[in-house]
Formats: sequence, structure tokens, C-alpha cells
Amino acid sequence: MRVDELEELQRQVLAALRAPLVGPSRERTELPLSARVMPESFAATAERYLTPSAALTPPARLELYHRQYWFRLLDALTDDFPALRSLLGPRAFAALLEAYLDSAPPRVANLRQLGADLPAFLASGAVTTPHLVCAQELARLEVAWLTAFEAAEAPPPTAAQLSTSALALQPHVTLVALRSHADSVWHRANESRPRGRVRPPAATPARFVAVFRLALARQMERLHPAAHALLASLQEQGSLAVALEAAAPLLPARRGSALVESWFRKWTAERWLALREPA
Amino acid sequence: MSANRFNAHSALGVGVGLRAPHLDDLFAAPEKLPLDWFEIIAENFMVDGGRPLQTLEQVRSRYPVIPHGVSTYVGSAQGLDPAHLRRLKALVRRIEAPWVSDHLCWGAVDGHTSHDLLPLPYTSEVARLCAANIRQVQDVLEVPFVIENVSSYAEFRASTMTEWQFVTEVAEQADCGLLLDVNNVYVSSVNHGFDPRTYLAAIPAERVAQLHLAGHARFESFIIDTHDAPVADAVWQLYAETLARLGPTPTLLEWDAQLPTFAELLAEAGKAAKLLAEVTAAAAPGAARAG
Repeated sequence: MRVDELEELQRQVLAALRAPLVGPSRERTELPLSARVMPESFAATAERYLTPSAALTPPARLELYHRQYWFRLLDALTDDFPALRSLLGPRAFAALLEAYLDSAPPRVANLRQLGADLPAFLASGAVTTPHLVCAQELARLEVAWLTAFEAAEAPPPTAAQLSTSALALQPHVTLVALRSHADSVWHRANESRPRGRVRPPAATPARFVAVFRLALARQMERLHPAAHALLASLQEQGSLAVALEAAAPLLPARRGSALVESWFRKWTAERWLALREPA
Repeated sequence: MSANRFNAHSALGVGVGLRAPHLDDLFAAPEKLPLDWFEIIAENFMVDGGRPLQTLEQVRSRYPVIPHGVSTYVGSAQGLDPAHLRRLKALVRRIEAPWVSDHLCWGAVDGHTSHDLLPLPYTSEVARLCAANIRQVQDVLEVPFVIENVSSYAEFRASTMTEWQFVTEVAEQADCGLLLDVNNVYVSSVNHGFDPRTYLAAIPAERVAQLHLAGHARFESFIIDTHDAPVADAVWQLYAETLARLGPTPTLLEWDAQLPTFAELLAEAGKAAKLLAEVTAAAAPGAARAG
């Protein structure tokens, strides 16, 4: 078998593994094989490349890998998005994940990064999902939670560098602007891990949160709109002066500067800020 | 003896896979546990910071840690992923790993990964490709790179040799060590209808750097390598026979799903340690005369 023939075999077999789950193939690996319900191309690939065993036909053998492919990825995403699952319910959540994996097959070695593009997928309108806005925002919060787990920590600025150097947020800090009560839904889903669904509250005031890591523990915290504007500007442009300007209209008329000072004390103590890497 | 150049002449005994739900028990233990080492899934620690790397340092301060990869894919027709190798090398350096293992398999095409360990057609051409890829990995990592036989549920029409002939040919062409997974041999032997003892006897003993044990799930017409159960009796028997042939060999118990308590995991690892101790005692100088 030449290398180009091996490459074609590998391309065809992986394409078969990526074939959507259908009917009983959605059940667990140990259930009776159902290759008969798979598409004809699936059986053709199996027959072309695989031998039968004493007990299994080539399509049945390939189906073991097919289920393994899907269940491994679905299980990993289910572990990483418990709040989103609580919001949508198991059926809609599973349908969302299958559509996501169908549209964006994995390209990352670390399974914890498998769902990184799920918020963008939800925002793309490719699927119809209940509570769409809340679902998108929950997905962003849960990706931020994963990011806070394993993102790097860059050198923090010294007190003098705060005003003289270009700044950024630490890689483990994510800002999320919310139009829904996604943070409340997230807290309820994660605190109690309910078996049932968590429905979003009806009112949807704008709010801002930061997800970050402090002494290796992950945290989520609501932000004042001015604090969000300040941090978002720092993240985007790096200039303290520009960030203060962006936050100014959102600060209360009285004690605004004291508020900003208290935020910087906290952000410095909790290492939210980093020196901006040269472009 | 399987202390050899492929495992840095290691005298490690029995270890287990490091899994997050066991960390509290591991770190709460007042004394060193009856374990010689831990194996980590390399990809879970090829990250930039945070808890994974801090956990790794905590474990390393008390036990040797060996990285075990699941996505180098030395059987990929399209070759290796240089970015993946760079990240793997960074991990190897960070933890000063004496050796690294991964699987003799493929799993990715055109940048899309299956997150599975897929079997290969067993031919001389494919063996040459795998050996070339393994040599490249060894050149990059600068520590011994050891390849593991995978369990499988399918065989290819294109194969022209047995799996054990293929594994041997790859290892010899690449001049690499082997991580012999006894459970995988057993699982494949049932699924494909061969004698596992024929397989195990054919593996070049001098290349075996490490052994794996794990549990599996038996269904009516096939076995799945689930790593979610105690080691089966038949696999314990094969392990004992393998140790008798190889001599004392670093052994790792894998348990990845339906995790037991840490105490139960230690008890299962203890079974391997007992068998390993018996072989070690028998291999000690003077043991034959004393017996």
C-alpha cells in the first residue's frame, strides 16, 4: 500500500466516522449494532477497506469506531457545558452539539478546547435553539471558565508601569457582556447541578461579568459598566489614558475617581492586568 | 530485565494514570503511597498555565511522572504535526521526562482529528512510514519515544502481515522501545480471533520499556477497550506470563472511566505490584540457588 493510498484510506475512514449519528446509532456503544441504518457510503467505505470478523460485518466493525468518535466528543462537550445543557435540556443540547461537531470537526488535541468555537457557532444562526441569547452567553461564560483553568499568566505590570506601559488583561481573564441573566443561570446550574432544566428569568438587563483565576481557583464576578468599559479598552488598545476616557461617561458623578482607584487596587492585587506583548 | 535504553534503565515498578478526581486523596495522603510513579495524558498538560501545570509540579515533587501521548499519530500518512511536537517537547523538558510514549496508530487527516487511536493496515510500506515518523519524533524530543500497540475492532483488507509482525518491524526500523499493552493484545485477540500468547511471544523482549494493564467491557460478539473496570482475570494471567518472559518491567494501570475510589485503584495496582515483586525476587542474583 503506497503512502498516497494510505492517505486516501485515512481520509475516507475519517469521513465515515464523521457521518452524522442516525436512529439507534445515537444509543450507547454497547447496544446492538445498527449499520443497516447508516448511509450507503458508510457501508461502502467499510466494505472497501475492512475485512469481516467471525462475528461482525465490515460496516458493523466500522460502526464501533463511529459511535466511539461521536460519544467521546459529545461526552467531552457535555462535561464542559453543564449550564448550557441545563438551559436547553438534554435533547436540544445534544442536537446542538451534533450540529456543532458536524460543522466544525475537531482540530485541537486538547479535548478541553473542543468547545472553544461553540459561542461563535451559536451566534452564526446555523441552528435554532431555545433561549438563543441566553444560550450564546452561557456558552461564552463556559468557554471563559475553561480558559481560566489553563490559560497562561503573563508578567504583571509594576505600579509605575501602570501609567507608562501598554497594558492588557491576563490571558485567563475574560470579559463577557450579557443581555440576558446568563450569569444567574450559570450560578444556579453549577451550584446545585440540578437534574432538571434551568429556565432563564424573564427580565434581561444589560450587565457585565469577568471570569478569571485567583490563586488557581476560577471565579466569576459582576462588573460595573464603567469597569467593563475600562478593562475592555485596556484589552483592545492598551492605553490607560484611553481606557479612563472610555470609562468616564459611565462613572457616577460623585466619587468616580475613588471607584476607579479601588478597582485598580483590586485588579492589581488579583493580577488581572498584564504588560502588553509587543505587536 | 526490562530496564533498558528505551526506559532510561528504569527500575520503576507499578504506577497509575493521574486522574483529577483522585487528586484530593493523593495530596491528602500523609505518606508516600505504595505507587512508584504516575502516567499523565500528555495533551492534558500541554497548556500554558493554570491548575494543570501546578498540579503537575505537586505530583512531580513526590513521584516520577511519565507523559503518555494520545495524538502524535505516527501512522498518519500526512506526517506529523510540528506544532504538536513542539508542545510535547516543551512538556517533556518541563517535567524532565525520562521517556515518552504514544500509540502506533493514526487519527487525523487534513487537520481534522478523530480523538481516537485508529488501527493501521499492516504492510511493509506502512511500517516504513511509521518508523520514519517515529525517528522524527525521537529527533525532536531527544528522549526515548516508546510506541504502544492499540486495541482494535477492525482489520484492513490491505494488511499483509500480522499485528505482532507489524509492531516488531516498526520498532526495529525505528529503533524504538515498546509499550506493550497486555489488555490491548487480549482485546484484539478476541475481536480478531488470534492467540494472544502467539502475539506476546513474538514481541522483541529487549525493546519492551513498559507494560500497560486496564479493564475492558465484554459484549456478545466483541470486546471494547473501555478502561472502566478492574483488570480481567485472563489479562492478569497474560501479564504474569509476560513478566515471566520479560523480567521486571515498569507497569502502569489505566483506569479512565467509571473511576473507582483512590483506595480501590491502589488495591488494583497492588495486584500488579505483587506479581511484579514475585518476578523481581525470582530475578534477583542468587534467587535460583536460594529457591
